[in-house]
Amino acid sequence: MADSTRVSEKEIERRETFIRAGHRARHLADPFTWSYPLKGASAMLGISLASVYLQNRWNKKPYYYAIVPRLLLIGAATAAGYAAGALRERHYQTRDAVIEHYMKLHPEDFDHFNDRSGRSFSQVLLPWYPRRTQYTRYD
Amino acid sequence: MPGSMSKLGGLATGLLACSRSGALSNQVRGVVHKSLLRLPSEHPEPWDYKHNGFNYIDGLKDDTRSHFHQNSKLIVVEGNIGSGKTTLAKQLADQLGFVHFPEFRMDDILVDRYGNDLRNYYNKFPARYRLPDISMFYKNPSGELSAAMQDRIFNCRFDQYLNALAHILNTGQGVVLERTPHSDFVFANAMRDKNYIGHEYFKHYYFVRKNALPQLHFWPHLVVYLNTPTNKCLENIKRRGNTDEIATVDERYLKTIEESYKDSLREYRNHSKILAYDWTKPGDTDAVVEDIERLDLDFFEWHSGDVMEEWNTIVDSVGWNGWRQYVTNKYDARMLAFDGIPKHEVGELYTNPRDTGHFLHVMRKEVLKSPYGYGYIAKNGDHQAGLNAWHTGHHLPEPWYEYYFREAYYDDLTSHETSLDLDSDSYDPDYVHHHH
Repeated sequence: MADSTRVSEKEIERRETFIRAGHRARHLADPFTWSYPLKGASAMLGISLASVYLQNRWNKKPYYYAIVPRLLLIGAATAAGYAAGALRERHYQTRDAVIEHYMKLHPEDFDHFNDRSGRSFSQVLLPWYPRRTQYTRYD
Repeated sequence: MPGSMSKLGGLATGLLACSRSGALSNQVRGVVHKSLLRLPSEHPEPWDYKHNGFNYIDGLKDDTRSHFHQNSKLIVVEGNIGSGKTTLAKQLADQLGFVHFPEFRMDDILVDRYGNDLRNYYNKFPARYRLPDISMFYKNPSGELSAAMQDRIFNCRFDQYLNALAHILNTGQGVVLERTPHSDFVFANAMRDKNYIGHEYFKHYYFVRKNALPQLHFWPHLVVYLNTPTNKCLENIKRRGNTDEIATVDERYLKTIEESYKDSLREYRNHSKILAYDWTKPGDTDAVVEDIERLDLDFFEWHSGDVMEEWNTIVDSVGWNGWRQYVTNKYDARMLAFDGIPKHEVGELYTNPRDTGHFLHVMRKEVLKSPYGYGYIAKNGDHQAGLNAWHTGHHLPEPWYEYYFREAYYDDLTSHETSLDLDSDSYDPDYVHHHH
């Protein structure tokens, strides 16, 4: 292959790690830099607080109406959101670990991953022997 | 229906009536004068249902049947207008140690817990929400809201009857009640006879009545009917001195009520004991007490009719606690009685949704002066209450309410005008003067 199309290993590595979870520093103002459990808990907490506020206003109630059972329910909802985020993170970790383990067990099935810059057709195509049917009289 | 499984046990109770413990162990006594009442030694303290309510889980710590004794009875005093039943009811309650439930008046629901009399704001309310009390009805009986008033009165009598049952089931103390939803139709008949209400509402009233009365489940133990002739009632009414009442409650009105009470007593006869007295000259309360003491209000046989049936076919704690929760909470009873009945064919009960919106605006801006509901307004002296609100059916901080249409209705009332304008910024005082 032409050298102009080849990319160095360092550049390939940079491209793959440019966007990845947990890579950027955590900023309070940017929810996408938070961890998955924190995002889940924050979403459920926000939704719960908004719904409690609207229900109280809708039903002509102050903030302290039924506050004890509602705090329990908000805590439960926040815990559910945290659990959902933790489950998602755990799921991704498990998936990556399983895939890496399989690649270690069967490296021959993943040889083509090493040719990041591509291969020539002679390396891809199988051998070919032309046999033209119309010339059978000369076999 | 709570306690419905106990109905199956009623059959067994009836078949085994001869083995009732009372018949074998001691003599069964009926209602006695309060000076003769002897409570059992293990009788529990009355359950404070007004502050604690009663939920199913409360049945684990307070059994219902332990509260009952000889005088746990519901006595109803019936009679025509001006027949003297309030006097008799008071004296009966005093002599028997019962609690007296006066007849329902619209004043009971038109004055809220803060002392606001809604009648003072009637000039700001839309016309549909200026419900007349009995004085306003007597002044203008042919007004458009007479049917709405009658509808509200029946609704509140329903609540009052459940309150009486709740008092008996939670404390064991008997109740002397004046008038019931069972006999409220005598007034509907009288109003219809004089065209104070229309035919459509009359039919609707009987439909609602037919649906609501079975939800009360219990019938009174005893009905004391005072048979006062109409001319005597008219004399008593004249002595009261209310000129509007004298003008409206005339001979024909009273005669219709008297005739309707015959139908009412015929209905009571299947379920309750009846004592009827000629009250032309008011009798002696002591004589009535003696008659009550002679009655056997505890007798029930399954095969001998329905008198006292509801009070004797509940066989276990689950059944009694279920009925107790039912009458104390009132939510299931009211839902089964009044929900789901269409009103669109009754023009007299029609409420313009815009009127509802304006009514809510006036309540927030003028009456309560707060976006919050009853019991939650700090500047009116309400403390932070309702923090552990687990009860169902209403949103008041207390678990028990007396009349739904006094305050509990307010949180259930909503409209398009107020659902998105939570502070009533679009309140327009001139709405009541606009032509709609």
